[in-house]
Amino acid sequence: MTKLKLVKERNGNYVLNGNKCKVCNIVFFPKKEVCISCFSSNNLEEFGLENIGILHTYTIVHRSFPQFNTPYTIGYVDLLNSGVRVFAPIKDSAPDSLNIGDEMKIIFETDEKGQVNYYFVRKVE
Amino acid sequence: MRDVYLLGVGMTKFGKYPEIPIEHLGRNAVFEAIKDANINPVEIESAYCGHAFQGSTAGQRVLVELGLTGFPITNLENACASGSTAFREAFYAVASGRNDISLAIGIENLSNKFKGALGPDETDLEAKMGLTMPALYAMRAKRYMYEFGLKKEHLASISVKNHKNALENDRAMFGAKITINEVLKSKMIADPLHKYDCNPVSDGASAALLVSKKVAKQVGGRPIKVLASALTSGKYEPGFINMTFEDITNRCALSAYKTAGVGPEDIDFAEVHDCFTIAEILRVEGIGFCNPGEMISWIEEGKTEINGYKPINPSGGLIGKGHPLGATGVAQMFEIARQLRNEAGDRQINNPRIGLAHCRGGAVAGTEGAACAVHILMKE
Repeated sequence: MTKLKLVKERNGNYVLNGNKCKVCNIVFFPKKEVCISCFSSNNLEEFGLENIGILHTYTIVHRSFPQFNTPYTIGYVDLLNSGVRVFAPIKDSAPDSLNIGDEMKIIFETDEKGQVNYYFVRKVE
Repeated sequence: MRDVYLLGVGMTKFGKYPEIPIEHLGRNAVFEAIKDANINPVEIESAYCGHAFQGSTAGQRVLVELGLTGFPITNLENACASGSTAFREAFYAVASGRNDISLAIGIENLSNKFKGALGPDETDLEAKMGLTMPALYAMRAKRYMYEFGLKKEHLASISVKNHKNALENDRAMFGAKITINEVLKSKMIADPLHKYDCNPVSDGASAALLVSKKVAKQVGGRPIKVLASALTSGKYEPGFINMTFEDITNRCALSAYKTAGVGPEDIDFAEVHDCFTIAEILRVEGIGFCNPGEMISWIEEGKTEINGYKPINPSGGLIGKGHPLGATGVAQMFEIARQLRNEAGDRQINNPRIGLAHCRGGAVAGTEGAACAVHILMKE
Protein backbone atom coordinates (compact mmCIF):
# COMPACT_ATOMS: atom_id res chain seq x y z
CA MET A 1 0.00 0.00 0.00
CA THR A 2 1.29 3.46 -0.87
CA LYS A 3 1.83 5.62 2.17
CA LEU A 4 -0.63 8.50 2.34
CA LYS A 5 0.97 11.90 1.98
CA LEU A 6 -1.13 13.96 4.35
CA VAL A 7 0.91 17.12 4.36
CA LYS A 8 2.47 19.15 1.54
CA GLU A 9 4.49 22.32 1.25
CA ARG A 10 2.98 25.43 -0.30
CA ASN A 11 4.90 28.72 -0.56
CA GLY A 12 7.24 27.66 2.22
CA ASN A 13 4.42 26.65 4.57
CA TYR A 14 2.84 23.29 5.25
CA VAL A 15 -0.82 22.58 4.48
CA LEU A 16 -3.00 19.49 4.64
CA ASN A 17 -2.78 17.74 1.30
CA GLY A 18 -6.24 17.19 -0.11
CA ASN A 19 -7.75 17.14 -3.56
CA LYS A 20 -10.92 18.45 -5.12
CA CYS A 21 -13.23 17.34 -7.89
CA LYS A 22 -13.53 20.30 -10.27
CA VAL A 23 -16.88 19.08 -11.55
CA CYS A 24 -18.58 18.11 -8.29
CA ASN A 25 -16.81 20.72 -6.14
CA ILE A 26 -16.12 18.24 -3.32
CA VAL A 27 -12.88 18.36 -1.31
CA PHE A 28 -11.31 15.07 -0.16
CA PHE A 29 -8.90 14.65 2.71
CA PRO A 30 -7.07 12.31 2.64
CA LYS A 31 -6.96 12.45 -1.16
CA LYS A 32 -9.13 10.11 -3.20
CA GLU A 33 -8.09 8.69 -6.54
CA VAL A 34 -11.69 8.62 -7.76
CA CYS A 35 -14.41 11.19 -7.06
CA ILE A 36 -17.15 9.44 -5.10
CA SER A 37 -19.81 11.57 -6.76
CA CYS A 38 -19.03 11.47 -10.52
CA PHE A 39 -16.88 8.33 -10.24
CA SER A 40 -14.23 9.85 -12.49
CA SER A 41 -10.51 10.14 -11.81
CA ASN A 42 -9.98 12.83 -14.46
CA ASN A 43 -11.49 15.81 -12.65
CA LEU A 44 -9.41 15.77 -9.48
CA GLU A 45 -6.99 18.60 -8.75
CA GLU A 46 -4.61 19.29 -5.88
CA PHE A 47 -6.17 21.20 -3.00
CA GLY A 48 -4.40 22.50 0.10
CA LEU A 49 -6.76 22.81 3.07
CA GLU A 50 -7.01 25.94 5.23
CA ASN A 51 -5.39 25.70 8.67
CA ILE A 52 -8.18 27.27 10.74
CA GLY A 53 -11.39 25.59 11.89
CA ILE A 54 -14.00 25.07 14.59
CA LEU A 55 -13.77 22.40 17.30
CA HIS A 56 -16.67 19.99 16.70
CA THR A 57 -15.91 17.71 19.65
CA TYR A 58 -12.96 16.41 21.66
CA THR A 59 -11.94 14.14 24.51
CA ILE A 60 -9.09 13.63 26.94
CA VAL A 61 -7.94 10.01 26.59
CA HIS A 62 -6.76 8.30 29.77
CA ARG A 63 -6.49 4.69 28.55
CA SER A 64 -5.11 3.93 25.11
CA PHE A 65 -3.08 1.61 22.93
CA PRO A 66 0.21 0.49 24.54
CA GLN A 67 2.35 2.76 22.33
CA PHE A 68 0.62 5.98 23.48
CA ASN A 69 1.47 7.99 26.59
CA THR A 70 -1.68 9.11 28.44
CA PRO A 71 -3.39 11.40 29.10
CA TYR A 72 -3.63 13.11 25.75
CA THR A 73 -6.30 15.16 24.01
CA ILE A 74 -7.78 14.56 20.57
CA GLY A 75 -10.56 16.17 18.62
CA TYR A 76 -12.37 16.80 15.37
CA VAL A 77 -12.12 20.24 13.78
CA ASP A 78 -14.39 21.43 10.98
CA LEU A 79 -12.63 23.35 8.21
CA LEU A 80 -15.56 25.40 7.03
CA ASN A 81 -14.17 26.59 3.68
CA SER A 82 -13.10 23.14 2.51
CA GLY A 83 -16.06 21.38 4.07
CA VAL A 84 -13.77 18.81 5.65
CA ARG A 85 -13.68 17.50 9.23
CA VAL A 86 -10.15 16.69 10.36
CA PHE A 87 -9.08 14.47 13.24
CA ALA A 88 -5.85 15.19 15.15
CA PRO A 89 -4.28 15.46 18.60
CA ILE A 90 -4.87 18.73 20.44
CA LYS A 91 -2.00 20.37 22.33
CA ASP A 92 -3.27 22.57 25.12
CA SER A 93 -1.98 23.35 28.58
CA ALA A 94 -5.50 23.29 30.06
CA PRO A 95 -7.56 20.84 27.97
CA ASP A 96 -10.33 20.81 30.60
CA SER A 97 -11.19 24.36 29.57
CA LEU A 98 -11.61 23.54 25.87
CA ASN A 99 -15.08 24.16 24.50
CA ILE A 100 -16.94 22.82 21.51
CA GLY A 101 -17.07 25.74 19.07
CA ASP A 102 -13.56 27.02 19.94
CA GLU A 103 -11.55 28.33 17.02
CA MET A 104 -8.60 26.00 16.38
CA LYS A 105 -5.44 26.22 14.32
CA ILE A 106 -3.46 23.41 12.68
CA ILE A 107 0.24 23.36 13.61
CA PHE A 108 2.82 21.33 11.67
CA GLU A 109 5.85 19.75 13.29
CA THR A 110 8.71 17.70 11.83
CA ASP A 111 9.65 14.65 13.91
CA GLU A 112 13.09 13.02 14.27
CA LYS A 113 12.43 10.78 11.27
CA GLY A 114 11.73 13.83 9.12
CA GLN A 115 8.02 13.15 8.91
CA VAL A 116 5.72 16.17 9.13
CA ASN A 117 2.90 15.65 11.65
CA TYR A 118 0.06 17.97 12.56
CA TYR A 119 -1.96 18.83 15.62
CA PHE A 120 -4.48 21.42 16.76
CA VAL A 121 -4.06 24.32 19.16
CA ARG A 122 -6.55 26.92 20.30
CA LYS A 123 -6.31 29.92 18.00
CA VAL A 124 -6.21 32.32 20.94
CA GLU A 125 -4.88 30.81 24.12
CA MET B 1 -38.36 -15.95 -0.08
CA ARG B 2 -39.52 -18.50 2.45
CA ASP B 3 -40.43 -17.95 6.09
CA VAL B 4 -37.54 -18.63 8.47
CA TYR B 5 -37.77 -19.68 12.11
CA LEU B 6 -35.31 -19.46 14.97
CA LEU B 7 -35.62 -22.87 16.58
CA GLY B 8 -32.68 -23.20 18.95
CA VAL B 9 -30.17 -20.99 20.74
CA GLY B 10 -27.08 -21.59 22.85
CA MET B 11 -24.35 -19.52 24.41
CA THR B 12 -21.55 -19.86 26.88
CA LYS B 13 -21.45 -17.64 29.90
CA PHE B 14 -19.43 -14.62 28.77
CA GLY B 15 -16.27 -14.00 30.79
CA LYS B 16 -12.51 -14.10 30.64
CA TYR B 17 -11.24 -17.47 29.51
CA PRO B 18 -7.65 -16.98 28.38
CA GLU B 19 -7.02 -20.72 28.94
CA ILE B 20 -10.03 -22.07 27.04
CA PRO B 21 -9.50 -22.59 23.30
CA ILE B 22 -12.05 -20.87 21.11
CA GLU B 23 -12.93 -24.25 19.58
CA HIS B 24 -14.22 -25.42 22.96
CA LEU B 25 -16.21 -22.27 23.67
CA GLY B 26 -17.79 -22.56 20.22
CA ARG B 27 -18.50 -26.26 20.63
CA ASN B 28 -20.36 -25.68 23.91
CA ALA B 29 -22.60 -23.01 22.39
CA VAL B 30 -23.40 -25.11 19.29
CA PHE B 31 -24.11 -28.19 21.42
CA GLU B 32 -26.60 -26.23 23.53
CA ALA B 33 -28.33 -24.77 20.45
CA ILE B 34 -28.77 -28.24 18.92
CA LYS B 35 -30.25 -29.60 22.18
CA ASP B 36 -32.46 -26.52 22.48
CA ALA B 37 -33.77 -26.97 18.93
CA ASN B 38 -34.23 -30.69 19.43
CA ILE B 39 -33.05 -31.55 15.93
CA ASN B 40 -30.81 -34.31 14.66
CA PRO B 41 -27.41 -32.64 14.16
CA VAL B 42 -26.68 -34.58 10.98
CA GLU B 43 -29.53 -32.66 9.34
CA ILE B 44 -27.63 -29.35 9.52
CA GLU B 45 -26.95 -28.33 5.92
CA SER B 46 -24.76 -25.24 6.28
CA ALA B 47 -23.00 -23.16 8.90
CA TYR B 48 -21.86 -19.53 9.09
CA CYS B 49 -19.33 -18.49 11.69
CA GLY B 50 -18.80 -14.83 12.64
CA HIS B 51 -15.64 -13.66 14.39
CA ALA B 52 -13.14 -10.84 14.17
CA PHE B 53 -9.80 -12.19 15.41
CA GLN B 54 -9.96 -16.00 15.61
CA GLY B 55 -7.85 -16.88 12.60
CA SER B 56 -8.48 -18.82 9.45
CA THR B 57 -11.44 -21.25 9.17
CA ALA B 58 -12.39 -20.94 12.84
CA GLY B 59 -15.91 -22.24 12.10
CA GLN B 60 -14.52 -25.53 10.82
CA ARG B 61 -12.26 -25.81 13.87
CA VAL B 62 -15.28 -25.39 16.15
CA LEU B 63 -17.56 -27.80 14.31
CA VAL B 64 -15.03 -30.61 13.96
CA GLU B 65 -15.22 -30.88 17.76
CA LEU B 66 -18.76 -32.20 17.31
CA GLY B 67 -18.10 -34.10 14.08
CA LEU B 68 -20.29 -31.62 12.21
CA THR B 69 -18.42 -31.69 8.93
CA GLY B 70 -18.93 -32.33 5.24
CA PHE B 71 -21.28 -29.42 4.47
CA PRO B 72 -20.53 -25.80 3.51
CA ILE B 73 -19.02 -23.81 6.39
CA THR B 74 -18.36 -20.11 5.77
CA ASN B 75 -16.44 -17.71 8.00
CA LEU B 76 -17.45 -14.05 8.16
CA GLU B 77 -15.77 -10.95 9.55
CA ASN B 78 -17.62 -7.67 10.11
CA ALA B 79 -15.97 -6.45 13.33
CA CYS B 80 -18.46 -6.36 16.23
CA ALA B 81 -21.30 -7.19 13.83
CA SER B 82 -19.65 -10.44 12.65
CA GLY B 83 -22.11 -12.64 14.59
CA SER B 84 -25.15 -10.77 13.24
CA THR B 85 -23.72 -11.10 9.76
CA ALA B 86 -23.39 -14.86 10.26
CA PHE B 87 -26.98 -15.00 11.54
CA ARG B 88 -28.12 -13.13 8.44
CA GLU B 89 -26.32 -15.53 6.11
CA ALA B 90 -27.87 -18.54 7.86
CA PHE B 91 -31.24 -16.78 7.59
CA TYR B 92 -30.79 -16.33 3.83
CA ALA B 93 -29.60 -19.92 3.39
CA VAL B 94 -33.04 -20.99 4.61
CA ALA B 95 -35.07 -18.09 3.16
CA SER B 96 -33.67 -18.70 -0.32
CA GLY B 97 -34.77 -22.33 -0.23
CA ARG B 98 -31.23 -23.65 -0.41
CA ASN B 99 -31.27 -25.22 3.07
CA ASP B 100 -33.88 -26.36 5.57
CA ILE B 101 -31.53 -26.10 8.56
CA SER B 102 -28.66 -23.66 8.86
CA LEU B 103 -26.44 -22.87 11.82
CA ALA B 104 -25.14 -19.43 12.84
CA ILE B 105 -22.18 -19.28 15.20
CA GLY B 106 -20.49 -16.31 16.87
CA ILE B 107 -17.16 -16.77 18.63
CA GLU B 108 -14.38 -14.66 20.12
CA ASN B 109 -11.58 -15.06 22.59
CA LEU B 110 -10.16 -11.58 23.23
CA SER B 111 -8.54 -11.90 26.63
CA ASN B 112 -5.66 -13.99 25.32
CA LYS B 113 -5.09 -11.48 22.50
CA PHE B 114 -5.62 -7.90 23.69
CA LYS B 115 -4.97 -5.64 26.61
CA GLY B 116 -6.42 -2.14 26.95
CA ALA B 117 -8.50 -0.26 24.45
CA LEU B 118 -9.47 -1.76 21.12
CA GLY B 119 -9.26 0.45 18.06
CA PRO B 120 -10.13 0.54 14.42
CA ASP B 121 -7.83 -1.47 12.15
CA GLU B 122 -4.22 -0.46 12.79
CA THR B 123 -3.90 0.87 9.25
CA ASP B 124 -6.72 3.33 9.94
CA LEU B 125 -5.45 6.91 9.78
CA GLU B 126 -7.30 8.06 12.88
CA ALA B 127 -6.32 5.02 14.96
CA LYS B 128 -2.67 5.74 14.19
CA MET B 129 -3.15 9.21 15.64
CA GLY B 130 -4.61 7.89 18.90
CA LEU B 131 -8.31 7.31 18.20
CA THR B 132 -9.44 4.41 20.39
CA MET B 133 -13.03 3.14 20.29
CA PRO B 134 -13.81 4.54 23.76
CA ALA B 135 -12.35 7.90 22.62
CA LEU B 136 -14.59 7.99 19.56
CA TYR B 137 -17.68 7.37 21.68
CA ALA B 138 -16.45 9.83 24.32
CA MET B 139 -16.36 12.50 21.62
CA ARG B 140 -19.87 11.57 20.52
CA ALA B 141 -21.00 11.81 24.16
CA LYS B 142 -19.40 15.27 24.51
CA ARG B 143 -21.17 16.44 21.39
CA TYR B 144 -24.49 14.98 22.59
CA MET B 145 -24.03 16.79 25.91
CA TYR B 146 -23.40 20.03 24.02
CA GLU B 147 -26.43 19.64 21.75
CA PHE B 148 -29.03 18.21 24.13
CA GLY B 149 -27.86 18.88 27.70
CA LEU B 150 -27.09 15.27 28.57
CA LYS B 151 -25.37 14.85 31.97
CA LYS B 152 -22.80 12.28 33.09
CA GLU B 153 -25.43 10.97 35.50
CA HIS B 154 -27.71 10.01 32.58
CA LEU B 155 -24.91 7.95 31.08
CA ALA B 156 -24.18 6.38 34.46
CA SER B 157 -27.81 5.32 34.94
CA ILE B 158 -27.61 3.24 31.75
CA SER B 159 -24.61 1.47 33.23
CA VAL B 160 -26.54 0.91 36.48
CA LYS B 161 -29.51 -0.56 34.56
CA ASN B 162 -27.47 -2.87 32.36
CA HIS B 163 -25.36 -4.19 35.24
CA LYS B 164 -28.58 -4.77 37.20
CA ASN B 165 -30.22 -6.67 34.31
CA ALA B 166 -27.08 -8.77 33.94
CA LEU B 167 -27.34 -9.77 37.57
CA GLU B 168 -30.43 -11.83 36.65
CA ASN B 169 -28.72 -13.39 33.62
CA ASP B 170 -26.70 -16.54 34.32
CA ARG B 171 -24.81 -16.07 31.01
CA ALA B 172 -23.68 -12.53 31.82
CA MET B 173 -20.14 -11.69 32.84
CA PHE B 174 -20.68 -8.56 34.83
CA GLY B 175 -23.92 -8.54 36.79
CA ALA B 176 -23.67 -6.08 39.67
CA LYS B 177 -25.64 -3.79 41.90
CA ILE B 178 -23.85 -0.53 41.38
CA THR B 179 -24.81 3.09 41.97
CA ILE B 180 -24.51 6.15 39.76
CA ASN B 181 -21.82 7.39 42.11
CA GLU B 182 -19.79 4.21 41.72
CA VAL B 183 -19.92 4.57 37.93
CA LEU B 184 -18.74 8.18 38.19
CA LYS B 185 -15.95 7.19 40.57
CA SER B 186 -14.68 4.33 38.38
CA LYS B 187 -11.48 4.96 36.44
CA MET B 188 -11.67 7.55 33.67
CA ILE B 189 -11.17 5.95 30.23
CA ALA B 190 -11.88 8.87 27.88
CA ASP B 191 -13.70 11.88 29.23
CA PRO B 192 -16.70 11.68 29.94
CA LEU B 193 -16.67 7.86 29.82
CA HIS B 194 -15.60 5.98 32.92
CA LYS B 195 -14.68 2.31 33.17
CA TYR B 196 -18.27 1.30 33.95
CA ASP B 197 -19.51 3.23 30.92
CA CYS B 198 -17.59 0.77 28.73
CA ASN B 199 -18.15 -2.87 27.89
CA PRO B 200 -15.58 -5.20 29.43
CA VAL B 201 -13.12 -7.18 27.27
CA SER B 202 -14.60 -10.66 27.18
CA ASP B 203 -14.62 -14.10 25.64
CA GLY B 204 -17.46 -16.38 24.69
CA ALA B 205 -19.49 -18.09 22.01
CA SER B 206 -23.08 -18.27 20.85
CA ALA B 207 -25.08 -20.28 18.33
CA ALA B 208 -28.49 -20.22 16.69
CA LEU B 209 -30.34 -22.69 14.48
CA LEU B 210 -32.49 -21.31 11.71
CA VAL B 211 -34.99 -23.59 9.99
CA SER B 212 -37.71 -23.65 7.37
CA LYS B 213 -41.40 -23.72 8.25
CA LYS B 214 -41.51 -27.41 7.35
CA VAL B 215 -38.82 -28.30 9.88
CA ALA B 216 -40.28 -25.98 12.51
CA LYS B 217 -43.62 -27.79 12.18
CA GLN B 218 -42.04 -31.25 12.32
CA VAL B 219 -39.99 -30.51 15.39
CA GLY B 220 -42.63 -28.50 17.21
CA GLY B 221 -41.25 -26.61 20.16
CA ARG B 222 -41.59 -22.88 20.30
CA PRO B 223 -40.31 -21.55 16.99
CA ILE B 224 -39.84 -17.82 16.59
CA LYS B 225 -40.35 -16.24 13.20
CA VAL B 226 -37.59 -14.01 11.82
CA LEU B 227 -39.57 -11.14 10.32
CA ALA B 228 -36.61 -9.22 8.91
CA SER B 229 -32.85 -9.32 8.51
CA ALA B 230 -31.21 -6.05 7.47
CA LEU B 231 -27.54 -5.22 7.05
CA THR B 232 -25.88 -2.04 5.88
CA SER B 233 -22.56 -0.20 5.93
CA GLY B 234 -21.68 3.37 6.88
CA LYS B 235 -21.84 5.88 4.05
CA TYR B 236 -18.72 7.79 3.08
CA GLU B 237 -19.92 11.37 3.25
CA PRO B 238 -17.43 14.13 2.56
CA GLY B 239 -18.12 16.93 4.98
CA PHE B 240 -19.66 17.06 8.39
CA ILE B 241 -21.19 13.79 9.61
CA ASN B 242 -23.82 14.17 12.35
CA MET B 243 -22.17 12.53 15.37
CA THR B 244 -25.29 12.43 17.55
CA PHE B 245 -27.73 10.77 15.17
CA GLU B 246 -26.79 7.44 13.63
CA ASP B 247 -27.61 7.37 9.97
CA ILE B 248 -26.22 3.81 9.67
CA THR B 249 -28.51 2.54 12.43
CA ASN B 250 -31.49 4.50 11.19
CA ARG B 251 -31.22 3.32 7.58
CA CYS B 252 -30.77 -0.27 8.73
CA ALA B 253 -33.75 -0.16 11.10
CA LEU B 254 -36.03 1.50 8.52
CA SER B 255 -35.16 -1.21 6.05
CA ALA B 256 -35.93 -3.91 8.64
CA TYR B 257 -39.26 -2.29 9.59
CA LYS B 258 -40.25 -2.14 5.92
CA THR B 259 -39.50 -5.83 5.35
CA ALA B 260 -41.18 -6.89 8.59
CA GLY B 261 -44.25 -4.74 8.03
CA VAL B 262 -44.02 -3.39 11.56
CA GLY B 263 -42.91 -0.09 13.05
CA PRO B 264 -41.04 0.90 16.21
CA GLU B 265 -44.40 1.16 18.01
CA ASP B 266 -44.96 -2.59 17.48
CA ILE B 267 -41.66 -3.66 19.01
CA ASP B 268 -41.93 -4.74 22.66
CA PHE B 269 -38.22 -4.67 23.55
CA ALA B 270 -34.78 -4.43 21.99
CA GLU B 271 -31.26 -5.65 22.45
CA VAL B 272 -29.03 -2.86 21.13
CA HIS B 273 -25.30 -2.48 20.70
CA ASP B 274 -24.39 -0.67 23.93
CA CYS B 275 -20.61 -0.91 23.59
CA PHE B 276 -20.64 2.28 25.68
CA THR B 277 -23.44 3.96 27.64
CA ILE B 278 -23.66 6.78 25.08
CA ALA B 279 -24.02 4.11 22.39
CA GLU B 280 -27.27 2.84 23.93
CA ILE B 281 -28.71 6.35 23.64
CA LEU B 282 -27.62 6.71 20.01
CA ARG B 283 -28.98 3.25 19.08
CA VAL B 284 -32.39 3.68 20.72
CA GLU B 285 -32.87 7.01 18.95
CA GLY B 286 -31.40 5.57 15.75
CA ILE B 287 -33.91 2.70 15.61
CA GLY B 288 -36.64 5.30 15.93
CA PHE B 289 -37.97 4.42 19.37
CA CYS B 290 -37.77 8.13 20.24
CA ASN B 291 -36.57 11.42 18.76
CA PRO B 292 -33.01 12.79 18.92
CA GLY B 293 -32.40 14.11 22.43
CA GLU B 294 -35.49 12.42 23.85
CA MET B 295 -33.52 9.62 25.52
CA ILE B 296 -32.62 12.06 28.29
CA SER B 297 -36.22 12.15 29.50
CA TRP B 298 -36.67 8.43 28.76
CA ILE B 299 -33.78 7.67 31.13
CA GLU B 300 -35.18 10.00 33.78
CA GLU B 301 -38.60 8.32 33.51
CA GLY B 302 -37.22 4.75 33.55
CA LYS B 303 -38.78 3.94 30.17
CA THR B 304 -35.98 1.56 29.18
CA GLU B 305 -36.07 -0.52 32.38
CA ILE B 306 -37.30 -4.13 32.23
CA ASN B 307 -40.72 -3.08 33.51
CA GLY B 308 -40.66 0.17 31.48
CA TYR B 309 -42.39 1.27 28.29
CA LYS B 310 -39.65 -0.11 25.97
CA PRO B 311 -37.19 -2.36 27.81
CA ILE B 312 -33.68 -2.02 26.35
CA ASN B 313 -31.02 -4.67 26.83
CA PRO B 314 -32.84 -6.93 29.29
CA SER B 315 -29.88 -9.34 28.98
CA GLY B 316 -27.57 -6.71 30.46
CA GLY B 317 -26.39 -5.68 27.01
CA LEU B 318 -22.75 -5.54 26.09
CA ILE B 319 -21.96 -3.56 29.23
CA GLY B 320 -23.46 -6.08 31.64
CA LYS B 321 -23.19 -9.31 29.69
CA GLY B 322 -19.78 -8.78 28.10
CA HIS B 323 -18.84 -8.25 24.47
CA PRO B 324 -16.84 -11.01 22.79
CA LEU B 325 -17.06 -9.25 19.42
CA GLY B 326 -18.12 -12.03 17.05
CA ALA B 327 -20.29 -13.73 19.69
CA THR B 328 -22.37 -10.65 20.49
CA GLY B 329 -24.80 -10.62 17.55
CA VAL B 330 -25.82 -14.25 17.96
CA ALA B 331 -26.00 -13.87 21.76
CA GLN B 332 -28.59 -11.13 21.20
CA MET B 333 -30.74 -13.82 19.54
CA PHE B 334 -30.33 -15.98 22.63
CA GLU B 335 -31.91 -13.22 24.71
CA ILE B 336 -34.65 -12.50 22.16
CA ALA B 337 -35.58 -16.20 22.15
CA ARG B 338 -35.53 -16.44 25.96
CA GLN B 339 -37.75 -13.38 26.28
CA LEU B 340 -40.22 -14.36 23.54
CA ARG B 341 -40.55 -17.85 25.09
CA ASN B 342 -41.07 -16.35 28.55
CA GLU B 343 -37.98 -18.17 29.79
CA ALA B 344 -36.03 -15.20 31.09
CA GLY B 345 -36.69 -15.76 34.78
CA ASP B 346 -36.30 -12.70 36.99
CA ARG B 347 -35.48 -10.47 34.04
CA GLN B 348 -38.58 -11.53 32.09
CA ILE B 349 -40.42 -8.75 30.27
CA ASN B 350 -44.20 -8.94 30.58
CA ASN B 351 -45.27 -11.31 27.76
CA PRO B 352 -43.47 -9.73 24.78
CA ARG B 353 -44.50 -10.59 21.20
CA ILE B 354 -41.89 -8.84 19.01
CA GLY B 355 -38.21 -8.20 19.75
CA LEU B 356 -35.52 -6.32 17.85
CA ALA B 357 -31.77 -6.92 17.81
CA HIS B 358 -29.39 -4.15 16.73
CA CYS B 359 -25.69 -4.78 16.32
CA ARG B 360 -23.03 -2.65 14.72
CA GLY B 361 -19.34 -2.88 14.26
CA GLY B 362 -16.16 -1.26 13.16
CA ALA B 363 -14.87 2.20 12.44
CA VAL B 364 -13.61 3.36 9.07
CA ALA B 365 -12.32 6.93 8.84
CA GLY B 366 -14.65 9.09 6.77
CA THR B 367 -17.71 6.95 7.50
CA GLU B 368 -20.02 6.63 10.44
CA GLY B 369 -19.25 2.97 11.02
CA ALA B 370 -18.41 -0.20 9.14
CA ALA B 371 -21.40 -2.52 9.55
CA CYS B 372 -24.85 -2.44 11.13
CA ALA B 373 -27.41 -5.23 11.39
CA VAL B 374 -31.02 -5.13 12.56
CA HIS B 375 -33.16 -8.25 13.01
CA ILE B 376 -36.81 -8.37 14.02
CA LEU B 377 -38.28 -11.55 15.51
CA MET B 378 -41.82 -12.48 16.48
CA LYS B 379 -43.39 -15.16 18.63
CA GLU B 380 -46.05 -17.14 16.70
